Amino acid sequence: MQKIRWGILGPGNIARKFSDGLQLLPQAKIQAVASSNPARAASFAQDFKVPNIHDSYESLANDPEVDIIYVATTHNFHEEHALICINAGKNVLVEKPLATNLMQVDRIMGAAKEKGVFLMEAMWTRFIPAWVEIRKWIADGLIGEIKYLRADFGFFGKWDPLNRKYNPELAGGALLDIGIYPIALAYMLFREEPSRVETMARLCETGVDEQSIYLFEYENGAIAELSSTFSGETGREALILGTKGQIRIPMFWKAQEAYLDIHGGESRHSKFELASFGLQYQAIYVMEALLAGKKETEWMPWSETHRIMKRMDSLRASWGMKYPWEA
Amino acid sequence: MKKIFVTGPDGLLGSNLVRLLLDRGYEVKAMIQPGRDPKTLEGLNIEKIACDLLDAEKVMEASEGADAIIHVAAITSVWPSRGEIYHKVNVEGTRNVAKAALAHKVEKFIYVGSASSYGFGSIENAGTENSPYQSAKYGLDYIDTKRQAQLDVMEMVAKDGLPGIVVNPTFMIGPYDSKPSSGAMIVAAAKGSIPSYTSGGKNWVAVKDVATGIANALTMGKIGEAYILGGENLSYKDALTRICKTVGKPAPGFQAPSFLVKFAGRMGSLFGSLTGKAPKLSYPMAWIACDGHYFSPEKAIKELNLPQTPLETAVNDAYNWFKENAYLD
Repeated sequence: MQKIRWGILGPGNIARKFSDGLQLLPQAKIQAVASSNPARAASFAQDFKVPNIHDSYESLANDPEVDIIYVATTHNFHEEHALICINAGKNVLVEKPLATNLMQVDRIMGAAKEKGVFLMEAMWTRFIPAWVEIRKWIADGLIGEIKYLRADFGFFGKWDPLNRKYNPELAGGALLDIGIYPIALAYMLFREEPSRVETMARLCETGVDEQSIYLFEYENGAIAELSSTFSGETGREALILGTKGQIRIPMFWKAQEAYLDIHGGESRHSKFELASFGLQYQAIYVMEALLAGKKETEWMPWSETHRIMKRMDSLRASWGMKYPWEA
Repeated sequence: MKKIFVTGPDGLLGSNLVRLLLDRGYEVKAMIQPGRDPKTLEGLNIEKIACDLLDAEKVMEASEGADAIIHVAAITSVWPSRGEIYHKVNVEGTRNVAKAALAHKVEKFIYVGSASSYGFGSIENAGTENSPYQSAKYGLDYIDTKRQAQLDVMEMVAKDGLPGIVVNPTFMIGPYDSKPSSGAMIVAAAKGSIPSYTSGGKNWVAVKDVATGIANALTMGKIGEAYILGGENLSYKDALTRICKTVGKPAPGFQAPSFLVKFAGRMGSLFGSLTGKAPKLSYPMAWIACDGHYFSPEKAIKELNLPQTPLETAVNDAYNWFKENAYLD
């Protein structure tokens, strides 16, 4: 079996969760790690038995023993770090959001196209078992045509202007951090651009959104009611109402259960396995694509990342919210 | 007892069963689904009749004059996992044949069910004819309808005096597997394309032993009884190691994690729903591959003289047949 050798760029919390899952895949090998903090790289290398330790991202990008690099730094660095890898000819899986705005996304995709490398935004929720099954229910027509989606994502983020959640220099704000989950869900389920959009946001002292809501209306009259907030824990539930039935998915972004109710028919409470944190399911698809010589996956293609970022740009524009590099 | 009417004579089991019945001096009337021209029955001295299992009248007509009926025919697909057709063929089709058996007052009616109609136990404590059904969780109409048909047959035995016997084969291996069904695994092993094994296991039986068990049931089987026709209980690791050795290939190297196998199955099922094409692996099949389906053939060994051919012999028989019939080219 041909192993896919992974490099980890930015061995923080999310990279550890991802690597926990990656270790469960026989096809994957965590080959290399690079951090701006050598101690952090060393401790990561020890925990995950990583042979190659790099003291710079450039060095990782040029490691001939690495097939693909997972970019797991904060949003504001995604473009810079993805480009280092891409320009060295490396395939990349970049944590979501792929970048902070459409201009950066275009530059990343332009470089990836030119270099002929694989690129995907790590929209891992789409790949977990629960959503694979729910998509099958929908494809099988169990709930009919989707008329309404409600999805929220809120957790308590203690106020700290220097923290990445609130710090504009680190591309803070609820939209890019967690609002992207319900928005990406709407794009996955409706598979088209909304025909009308309403939005509202509360910008905090630092100028980034601490909470925001997004209402999408579609050509067929369907509505998506989406929100994100740092003000506290919300249900983080997705509710999909169709013409024939409905599906409720608690903790939808890392779902392990779903309730299916068909009007006047079957009710089903399904539980789903989720090995580790679940971030590795996307890697199965990524590795399959790499072995097939593909540059993107069908489930999170470049066009989808592009559409979602364009939408987030326009939401921010309507609130008058800009990042320091967008002046 | 002279003349045996056999449905489904051209599949893996049917093709072996018909040959054995001929060897034992029975006359065989083989009911073949219209439109099929089964290669596995070529050159055999049997009477063939084209008849649709769902055409009750024709089934009644076709089986007239039989001294015993062996109902092998079934739809055994596992994709799609649910569908009207399974109930039609496996339940209604069985009723049609059983009613014909009653009307013609045959001496024996043997229904070929599936071992999956029982609970499967562990290697140490394998499932028996008394173990309660566990397979509903897989959501496969194939398994559910095979069990329903068995219940129907038993009800007709109790209520209508049908001289019915149920046999429940486990996972059969052997020659004349033209589809191929179980043989797909042997073909893959022979081609060296089994890199890994899954965590589960099952009961493996030589199809020739199953044929013997059924032929013996004609004379030795007790009406109203059910018999698991099985062989050895082996994990996939052990079975695939022995299969690969038999066909001269290296054993698979590692165990695929169950979550990964099941995930691949989920992906396959979604692919199937989106494209309408049968996936290589569906979720129920992946789930089954991660479970242990172990059964005890003790009752059939004792009461039907069921032989216990080693797995290697069955694999070798199948392998030679595949080789002769260009499946390995």
